[in-house]
Amino acid sequence: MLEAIKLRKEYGTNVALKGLDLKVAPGEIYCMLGANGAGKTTTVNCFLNFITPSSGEARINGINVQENPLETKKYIAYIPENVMLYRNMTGIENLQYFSKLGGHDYSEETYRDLLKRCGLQVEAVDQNIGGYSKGMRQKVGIAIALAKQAKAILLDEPTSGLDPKSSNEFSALLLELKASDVAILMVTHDLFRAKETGTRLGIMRQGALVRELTASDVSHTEVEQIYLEEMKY
Amino acid sequence: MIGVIAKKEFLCLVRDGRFKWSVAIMLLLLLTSFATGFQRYQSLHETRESAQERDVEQWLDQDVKNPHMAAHFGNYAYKPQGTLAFFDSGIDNYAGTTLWMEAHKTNFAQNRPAEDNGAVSRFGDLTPSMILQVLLPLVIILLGFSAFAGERDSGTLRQVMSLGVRPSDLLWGKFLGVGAAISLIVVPAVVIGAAILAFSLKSDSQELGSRAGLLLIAYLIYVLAFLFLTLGVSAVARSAKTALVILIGFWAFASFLMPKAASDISKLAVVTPTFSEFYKDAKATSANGLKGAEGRVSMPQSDHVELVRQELLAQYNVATVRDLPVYWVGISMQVLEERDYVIYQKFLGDLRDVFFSQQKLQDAFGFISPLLPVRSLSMALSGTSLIDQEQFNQTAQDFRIKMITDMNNELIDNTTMKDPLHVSGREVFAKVPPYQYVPPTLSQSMQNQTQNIILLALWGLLSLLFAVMAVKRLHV
Repeated sequence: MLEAIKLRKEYGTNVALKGLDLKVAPGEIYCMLGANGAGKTTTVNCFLNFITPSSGEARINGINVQENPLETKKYIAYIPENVMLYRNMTGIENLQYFSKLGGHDYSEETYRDLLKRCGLQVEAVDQNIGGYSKGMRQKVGIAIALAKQAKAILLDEPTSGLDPKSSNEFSALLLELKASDVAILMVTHDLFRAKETGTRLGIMRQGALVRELTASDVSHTEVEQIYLEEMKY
Repeated sequence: MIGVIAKKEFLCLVRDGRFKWSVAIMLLLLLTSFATGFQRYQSLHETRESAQERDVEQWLDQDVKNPHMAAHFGNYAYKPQGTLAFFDSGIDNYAGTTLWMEAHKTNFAQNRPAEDNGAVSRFGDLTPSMILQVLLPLVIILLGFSAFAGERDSGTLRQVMSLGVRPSDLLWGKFLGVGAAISLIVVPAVVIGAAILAFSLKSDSQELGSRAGLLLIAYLIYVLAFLFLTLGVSAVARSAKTALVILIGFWAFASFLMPKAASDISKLAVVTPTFSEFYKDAKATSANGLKGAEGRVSMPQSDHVELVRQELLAQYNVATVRDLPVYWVGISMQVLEERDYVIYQKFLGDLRDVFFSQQKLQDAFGFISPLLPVRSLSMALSGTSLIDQEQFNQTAQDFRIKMITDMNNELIDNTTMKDPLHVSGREVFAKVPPYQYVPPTLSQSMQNQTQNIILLALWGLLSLLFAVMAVKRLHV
């Protein structure tokens, strides 16, 4: 579903991605780990066509992102580190708006159910986003992704700043999506959450994928040891 | 998709406290300007109408006297205001409204309304046109500068663009949303303006309707040009703050600096003669003859008069004017009036050319500022432009020569050199019809406006293209 083929991105003399090859299949959660500046967000941005790769290809559902940006965006949903919403609109109004932009319109009841499913308190649904915490905004962001019924989801440090309970609820939702054959690429610094929810883990360093692990083959401690080992270089 | 974006944009704007304040202030200003504009129009209209009527009565009621002396008594021409002057007072405040028409002297219009204003009014009247030309673009900028840049700053643009929204849909959605918010200011203005026009409907209502319709179109293009410019800058600017600085800078340049600079440059490039220079040259030409002119007007005044005298002496076969069977004094005065009319027409025409050249040069700067073409079009359509002032001046000068000719002919027809005494009364003075100002027709008003129409249309078109190009390269 998500495929990077020799994906390379240069900013002048700085190489952000060094020919990345990556595949995320339906029903798979690929957790991309790495230090800041390793090229994780650049990869996500290439899939979103927010940046143009210097060479190589990003493909979604077999379609080249750069050649067909609007077509490929039909298949994906995106949850950033900080889900930013419109402060003058309520949670449900934001969800309705983004859902309609994504090509889906539901009944008000369905929108409320989606928000509830994502863990947003019922009393917050009709409140303006201006009064929302980061965690509450993330939940609306997840609801937006769910409403889109995307075949692939790109997550850029989605649990950053969330309390443990919210993170746990978020992981449960990801596993639900995985069970529905959604391909998920999640950029994260949270090794524990990556091991808990991920199918495969990839460690990025200086624009290159230096290590790939199958989550079920390693323990939490091993993940941490391998990660720290890779970060020494 | 466009409708969804437009609805959200409108919703977010109207829920913003700043928007409520902006609309409230703009509506208050517009209502005030309409009220004061209409009150000023009515007051001036009534004053001038009653003054013109009183002047006609004074002309008719003057004592019986020599008809030429009656021409010296003279008449006043008062320039009436067109109905749309309540909307745009144009140059009316700075141009003379009253012209004294008397024998032997060609006068300029006097009594500029601005002379009666205090220091507080030095920046001009608060008119609906001023608010639409200067303040509405500022409101458009304040409502639209963050349309793209603000979303980029807050991160919602990434969210929106990740959903596969076409940048062009985003542009049109935002255009409609911000446009709908602006219409909350513009629509009441149009309704109030239409109500005032309906209240003041006269016989020229059909042309008035055409003028009002064209005004609406011109201002609509102006507003659209600022809206597309604002959205375009918001799309390309790195941040909302940068967009605001760029747009406010352009607004100040286009609304204040450029009109003033264009005016000063035009006056430097095409110099207006002073009153004393004008009269000195005209009097010298009257005495020495108009070079290059055909006929006797090219001769020195003394030769011209002498030639007519000789012709009369020959016609009546007499040796001196004392023996003429006609009144030589009356004839010579009419000869001089007709001669000076031709000469002053030439000088007034040259002066008119200076003013029109200055106006044309000012209008040419309209490619830098959209305010300049819309301002000129607004004045032309409101009947408060240079063309209207010149129409007043010319009709008054034509009235003057007709009045003097009628009075001189009355004298010439009823006197001889041996019996020069003749007095006339009301029945003769009544032969001079009251001065009636006929304003330029719509096509006459628009005859110098082709360049402004093209420039305004270009502003609308190019700002649209700019916005379309800007969103094509929209970066998140």
